[in-house]
Amino acid sequence: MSLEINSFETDGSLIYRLVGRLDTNTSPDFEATLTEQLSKGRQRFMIDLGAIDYISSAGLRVFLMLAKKVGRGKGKMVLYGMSDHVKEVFDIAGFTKIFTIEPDAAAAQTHFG
Amino acid sequence: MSAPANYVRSRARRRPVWLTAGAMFLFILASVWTLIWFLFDSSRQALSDEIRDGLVRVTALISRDVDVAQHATLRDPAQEDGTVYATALAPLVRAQRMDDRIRFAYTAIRQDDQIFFILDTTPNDDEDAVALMELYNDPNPEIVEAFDSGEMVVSSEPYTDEWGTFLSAYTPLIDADGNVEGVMGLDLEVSQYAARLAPLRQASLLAAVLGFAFAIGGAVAVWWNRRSDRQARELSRQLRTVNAMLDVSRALGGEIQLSSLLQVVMAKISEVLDAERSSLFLYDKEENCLRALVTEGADVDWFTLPLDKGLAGRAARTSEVVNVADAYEEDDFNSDFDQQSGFRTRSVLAMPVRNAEGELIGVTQALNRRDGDPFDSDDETLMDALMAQAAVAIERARLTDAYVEKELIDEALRLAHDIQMSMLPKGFEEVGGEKLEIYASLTPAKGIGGDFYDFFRLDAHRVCLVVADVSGKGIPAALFMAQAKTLVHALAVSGLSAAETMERSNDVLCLDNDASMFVTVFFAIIDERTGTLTYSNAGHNLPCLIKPDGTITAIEGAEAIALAAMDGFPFEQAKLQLETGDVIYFYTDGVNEAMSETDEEFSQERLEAVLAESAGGSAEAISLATIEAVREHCGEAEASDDLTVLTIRWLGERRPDTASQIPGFSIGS
Repeated sequence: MSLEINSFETDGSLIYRLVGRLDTNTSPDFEATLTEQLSKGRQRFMIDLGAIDYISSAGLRVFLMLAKKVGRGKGKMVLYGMSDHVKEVFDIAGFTKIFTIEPDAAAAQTHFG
Repeated sequence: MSAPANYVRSRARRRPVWLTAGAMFLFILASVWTLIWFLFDSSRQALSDEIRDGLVRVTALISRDVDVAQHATLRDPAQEDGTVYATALAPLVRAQRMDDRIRFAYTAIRQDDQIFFILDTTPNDDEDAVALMELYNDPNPEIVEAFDSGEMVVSSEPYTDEWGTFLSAYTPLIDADGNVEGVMGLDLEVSQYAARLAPLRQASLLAAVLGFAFAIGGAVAVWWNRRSDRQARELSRQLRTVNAMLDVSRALGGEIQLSSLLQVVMAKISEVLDAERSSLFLYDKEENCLRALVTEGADVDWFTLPLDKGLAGRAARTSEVVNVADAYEEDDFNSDFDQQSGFRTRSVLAMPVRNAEGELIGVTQALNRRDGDPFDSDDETLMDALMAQAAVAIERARLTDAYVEKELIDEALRLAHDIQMSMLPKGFEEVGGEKLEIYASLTPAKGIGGDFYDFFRLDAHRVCLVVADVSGKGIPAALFMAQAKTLVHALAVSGLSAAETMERSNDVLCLDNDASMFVTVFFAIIDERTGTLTYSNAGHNLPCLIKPDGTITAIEGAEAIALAAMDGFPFEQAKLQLETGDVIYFYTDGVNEAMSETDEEFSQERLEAVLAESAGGSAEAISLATIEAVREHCGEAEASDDLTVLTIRWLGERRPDTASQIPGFSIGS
C-alpha cells in the first residue's frame, strides 16, 4: 500500500520511476515532489509507470497537474512503461487522449531529442 | 514556599580570586622570608658566636701565658730588639700559630689615658707593625673598655677598618697585685668568617627564591582552590539543575494535563531560582499579547499583558533576556499589577521561550530572588534549561491545539459529507415512474466526498441520470463536486444535448482549476417514450448493461475525457436502445476498486458475477446485492473511496418505431 519514488536526471530531463500504488494516500507525496521540481524550473519529465500496480483518480490528478504546468511552458511530460491495467485507468478518464504516453523509455526519449 | 536545606544558596559576595590569591602570595612570601631571615640570622649569629668563642678561648689561653711582670718592664722602645721583648712576645706568636686567622696580636698599656702599644707580632719591616711605646691613636672603644673593666671584651660584631674586617678580643693582663698592667688584643681576620657565611647566605637566598616560588604556588593553589570551589559549586548547581530537570521530565512523562505540567515546571523554577514568584506567559500571535498561563507563588486569575509594556513584554518584543535588579528603576516596568495585588516587585528575570523553529511561543518570568540579590547569569542558565523542558510541554499544548484543529477539520469534513449527501436527490419513485425504476446509493469514504449521482426530469418524457467521481478529497473535492453537479444539472435542464452538456460543463470547470481537479461523469438521458438512452462519457468507468438473463455488457462509446482536465475538448454522445427488463448499473471505481483486508480489489470480474447473479431483480435489489458483496469483500478494511451506485431498470415497452433497431448501443454525435 505504498509508493516508492525514484528519480534521476539525464540530459536535462528528470526521470521518475514509480513503484507501487499511486492512490489517494500516496499521490500527495508524489505531487509534492513534482511541485518542488517545478518550482526549481524543471520542465522535462519522463515518468516510468512500469512498476505501478494501481493508479486511482487521485494519481491521475497528479499527472493532469503536471501536464498542465509543463504544458504552459516549453516543457513536456511523457509517461511510459505502463501496464495494460494502468493504461486502462488513463484510458477510461480519457487521459490517453491528452497525455503523451509511450511504451518504453527509448520511445519516451525521442520526445526530448 | 521555602527552599529545602540543600538548596540554600551561598550568596556571599566573594572577593575576586586575584585578590585572595595576591594576599595569599604576600602572606606566604612574608612568612617564608621572615623565617629565612631568622634562620640566616641565627645561623650567622651561631657562626659569629662560634668564632668569638674560639677567639675568647685563644685569648684567654694566650693571656695566661703572658708574663705580666716581664711585660711591665717593657717601656723603652729600644727594648724591641731585646731578649725580654722576644720572650714576652712568644705567647702571642704562638697564638698566631694556633690560629692563622689571628692577623694581629699585640699588647698595650694605658698611661695618662693614652694607650701605647708594647708587644706586636707583626714583623718590623711590615708597614702595619707598631713600635714599642707607639701611641695608639683613636683607640678602639672596646680596648678602652677592657682597660676600664678589667674584663675580657670581645667585639660583638665584626668591624671593618683600614686593615680589614676583624673580630677583636681584648683581655686584660692582670699583675700579681690584681691591677691591670695592660691589655692583649687579638684581631681575628674574619674574611673567612664571611667565606663561611657565604654558603649560608646562598642557602638563604635559595630558600628565599624557593619561598617566592612557594608563595606563587600558594597563590596559585588558592586561585585553583577557589576555582575548584567554584567548580564544586557549579557541580552542585548542575546536579540541582539535573534533578529539577529530572523532576520536570518525570512530570512531562506523567502529567497529562498541560496546565498541571506547567505548574510543576514553574514550581521548579521558583524553587531552583529561589524566586518569590514565577509565571509563564503564552504569546498570543493574533492579539499580539502575552497571556499568563501559570503563576506560581500567587493566587491570580488568568491575565493578559500587552507586548509594548512591562518587562515580560520587553523580553517578548526584543527576544532577549531581561534581568533587572529593581523593576522600578526600569522605564518600561508596568506597576499596575503591583498596585492591584499589593505585591512589591524587585528583581525580575524575564526570558523569551522559543519553540524548535525559534519562534516566540511565550515568556517565562521570575520575580524577587528571596535573598534580595538580583538574579545572576547562573539563574539565567537554569531558567533557560528548565524552560527548554517547558517549551516541549508548550509545544505539546500546541499539538493539542493542532488536535483541536484536526477535530475542526473533521467537523468540516463531516459538514462536507453532509453537503455531499444533502445534494443527492431523493424520491426514486417521483423521478422514475411506471416505466423507470431508479435506485441509487452513495457510501462515502471518510474524508473523500467526491462522488455524486443525480437523477432528475428534463421534461415529462425524459429523465437525466448522472454518476460522477471527483478526483481529490476533502472539502475541495466536495465543493468541486457541488459545483460540477449544479453545473451539469443546470446545463442539462437548459435543453442542451448530452454531449453539449458535457462540453460546456468541461469548459466552465476548467476555469480557475488550479488544483487540477477533475471529475469523471457518465451523463445519460433516457427517453421514456422510446426507451433510448443517450449518453456521453466524460472519462468515467463504463456502466454495465444487464439483461434479464444475466448477460452483461459494458456500455462503451462516446468516451471523451474527464471534465476539467482540458478545456475545449470535444465531447460526443451515443444512443442505446433498452428492452424491457434491461438494467443499467452505473457506478464509480469505489465499487470495483474496493480493497479487501488483504489488499485485493473487488474487481470488475467479481462485480459482473454479482450482477449476473442478481440479474432479473429490481434496481434496488441489484444495487444492494453489489453493495453487500463489496462490504463482504472489504471486511474490516477501511474504504478508501466513495462507493456509488446508480441503477435503473427499464420496464417500458419497446416502441414499434424502434423495433427495427438492434438491441445494444449505437453511436451518434
